[in-house]
Amino acid sequence: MLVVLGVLPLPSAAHLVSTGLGPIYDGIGHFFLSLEDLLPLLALMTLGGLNGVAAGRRIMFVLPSAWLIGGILGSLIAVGTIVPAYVAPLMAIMLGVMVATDAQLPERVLTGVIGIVGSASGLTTGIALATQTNNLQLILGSAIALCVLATAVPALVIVAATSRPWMRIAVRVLGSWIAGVGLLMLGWQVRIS
Amino acid sequence: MILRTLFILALAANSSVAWGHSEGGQASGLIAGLLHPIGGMDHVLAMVAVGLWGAQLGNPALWMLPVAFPLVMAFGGFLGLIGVPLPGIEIGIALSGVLLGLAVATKLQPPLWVALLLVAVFAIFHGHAHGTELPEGASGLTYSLGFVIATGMLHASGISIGLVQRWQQGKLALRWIGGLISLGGAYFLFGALS
Amino acid sequence: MSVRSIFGRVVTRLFQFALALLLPQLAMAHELQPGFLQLTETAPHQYEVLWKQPTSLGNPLRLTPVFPVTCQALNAPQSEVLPQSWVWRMRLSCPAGLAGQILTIEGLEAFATDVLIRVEHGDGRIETHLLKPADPSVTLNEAAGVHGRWTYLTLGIEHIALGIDHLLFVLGLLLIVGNRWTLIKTITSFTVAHSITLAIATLASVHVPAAPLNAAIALSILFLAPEVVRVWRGQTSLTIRKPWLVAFAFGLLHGFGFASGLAALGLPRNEIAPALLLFNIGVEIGQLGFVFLVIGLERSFRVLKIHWPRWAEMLPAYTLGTLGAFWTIQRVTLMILR
Repeated sequence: MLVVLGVLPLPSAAHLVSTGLGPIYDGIGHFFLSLEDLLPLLALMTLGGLNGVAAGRRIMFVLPSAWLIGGILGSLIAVGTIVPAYVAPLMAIMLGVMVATDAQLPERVLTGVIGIVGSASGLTTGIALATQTNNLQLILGSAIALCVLATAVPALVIVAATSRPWMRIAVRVLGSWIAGVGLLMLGWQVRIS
Repeated sequence: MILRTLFILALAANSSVAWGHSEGGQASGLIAGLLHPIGGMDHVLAMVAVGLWGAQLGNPALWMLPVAFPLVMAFGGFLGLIGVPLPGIEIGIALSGVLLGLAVATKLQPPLWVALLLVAVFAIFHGHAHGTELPEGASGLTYSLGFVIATGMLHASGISIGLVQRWQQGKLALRWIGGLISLGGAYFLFGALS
Repeated sequence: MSVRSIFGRVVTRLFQFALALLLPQLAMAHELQPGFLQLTETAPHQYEVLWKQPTSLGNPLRLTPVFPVTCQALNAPQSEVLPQSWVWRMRLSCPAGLAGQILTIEGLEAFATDVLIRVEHGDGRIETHLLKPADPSVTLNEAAGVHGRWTYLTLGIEHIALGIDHLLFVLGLLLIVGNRWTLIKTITSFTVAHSITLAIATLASVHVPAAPLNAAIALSILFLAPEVVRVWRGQTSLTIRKPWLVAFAFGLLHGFGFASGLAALGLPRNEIAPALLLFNIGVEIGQLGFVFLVIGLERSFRVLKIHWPRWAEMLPAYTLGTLGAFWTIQRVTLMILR
C-alpha cells in the first residue's frame, strides 16, 4: 500500500487518483488520499473502539452503510451543490475531543453520531465525485476501503486500549491530535475564505 | 506494539502523501509543518520542558499534559489563523522557556490545575505564533498535521528524557537540564525585550 | 421454516443475482492484455518497429502509436494476425534521435489496458516505459532506462490485483487452513509452485494454450468450494488435512496463468531473467498483501466478537462455488466454440 501511495501522482485539488486498475481501485485510492474527510472518520472509529466491543461492532456495520447511503445520495444531487468546507474539520474537532476525553456514549447516542457523521462524510465525497463518469464505482471502491478500515481500526483500538493503561493514553493523545488538526484546518478555512 | 506499528505506518503514509502534493506544485505542507516547531529553538526548549515537567509531576499530569497540550496549542494556532491579535507573543514564548525551565530545576509541584493552566497559557502563545507564521501557499491540512505531530514528538521526547528520574543521578541531571532550559529561555527573553 | 432462514435464503438469492450481474465485468477484468511497442535501433537513427496491438474477442483495440514528428516511415507497415494480438512491423528513420521526443499511444484513454514501450538503443541501452490510460504519452529520455525496469514489478502487482480468479483461489485456501503453521506451508507451496511454472513457461518458452488453461484455473476454484463447506461442517478430507498439496498442484496451473500475462509482452531474450524476477516479486507482493488483508479482517472479526448468521458464514463458499462454476462453464464454452 505504501509503495502504491508513494508512486501515485496526485492531482492536488480533486485528489482523483489513477491507479490504472479501474474505477474500484481508483475509489479506494481516493478514499485514502482524501485526508480531510478521513480524519473525522478515523476519530469516530477510534471512539467506537474506546467504547468497547459492542460499539466497535456498531461502527463496523452502521458506519459504512450510512456512508454509502450518503455517497449515493450525494452523487444523485445535482452538480453545483457543495458541502461547506468547515463540516469535516468541525466533525474532526468534536470527535477528536470525545476520543481525548475517553467519552463513554450511550448506545443510542453513539448510533446517532455514527449515522450523522457517516452520511455527512459520504455526502461530501458523493458530491465531490458527481462529475466523474464512473462516480458510482468510485464510491463503491471508497465504501469497500471504509468497510476494511471500520473493521480494523476499532479492533486495533480495542486490543490496544485493553492491553496496557499507557496504550489507552496514547490512543487518547491521538484523539487530541486529530482535534488539534481539525482546529487548525478550521482556522485555515477562515483564513483563505 | 501494534499501535506503534500503526503509528509509524500512519507517519509514513502521511509523508508520502505530502511528497505527492509537492509534485502537484503545492508547497510540501507536511514537511513545512513538521519543521516549523523544530525550527525555532525557543519553541523546542519550552516544549521539551513541558515533557520533563510532566515526567517529574507523575500521574495524572504525565498523561493529562500530552492530551491537553496539542488541543490548547491548536486553539492558539486557530486564533492566529483567523487573525485575532495577541500582544507580546515573543516575550510570552521566551518567558515560558524561563518559567518552565525553572519549574523543572526547582522540581516545583503546584496543584494540578495550576500546572495545567500555566502550560495552557503558554501553549496558546506558541500555537498563535505558528498560526500567524504560516507560510504562504502551504497546504492547510498537511501543514496542520505536520505541526501537531512535531509538537507531540517534542513532547514525547521530553517525557522520555524525564524517565531517567528513576535513578538518583537521573533526578539530579533532570534538574540541571531544567536549569539550562531556563538559561536558554532567558537568552531568548533578552533578545525579545531588546 | 423460521423467518430468519427465509431471510437468509432471500439474501443468498439476491447475492447470486448481484453476482450474475457483475460476472461479465469480472470476466473481462482478468483479460489484462497489454499492448507492446518495441523500437530497436539497427543503424544510427534507424529503428525497427514492432507493435503488438492487443485484441479483444478477435477485434483489435483501437490503439495507434504516434511517433515523434521528426521520424519518417521507411516502408509500409506489414501486419500479421496472431491468436491474442495483431502484430505490425515497419522501419522508421528519426534523424533527430529519440532523446527528449514524445511518444503517444492514441486511444489508450478509452481502454482499461496498458502499453509497454521498450526502446533498444544502438549502444545497448534499453529503456522501458509503461503507459496507462491516465497518461498515454511519454517523453523518451536517455537516462530513464534503469528506472524503467521497475515497470515489470508494477505489472506483476497489477496482474494479481486484477486477477480475481487467482485471489479467489488464495481466499479458498485461507478458508481451509486451520492454524498459522499450515497457513505458512500452504501459501509457501502455492508460491513455490507458481514460481516454478512461471519460470519454466517464460524461460523455456513452454506454451500452454490459453483457453484450456483458463478453464482449468476456473475448475481449481470450483474444486475448493465444497472443501470450504466441508471445513464448515466439521468434516475432513485430504485437502483439509494437507492443504499444501492442493496448493502446490494447482499452484503449478496458476503459474502458467501468470506466465500468459508476462508472455503477452513478448519479452526479448537478454532481459528475460530480471523481468521475470521482478514480475514474480510483484505477484508475490500483491498476493501477500491480500493474505494479510484477509487475516487482519478475520482477526478483527474475532476481536469484535461477531457471530455471523448461517447464510453469511456460507457466503464465501457460495461465492467460490458460483464464480468457479460460472467461469468453468464460460471458458469451456468459449473453448468449444472456437
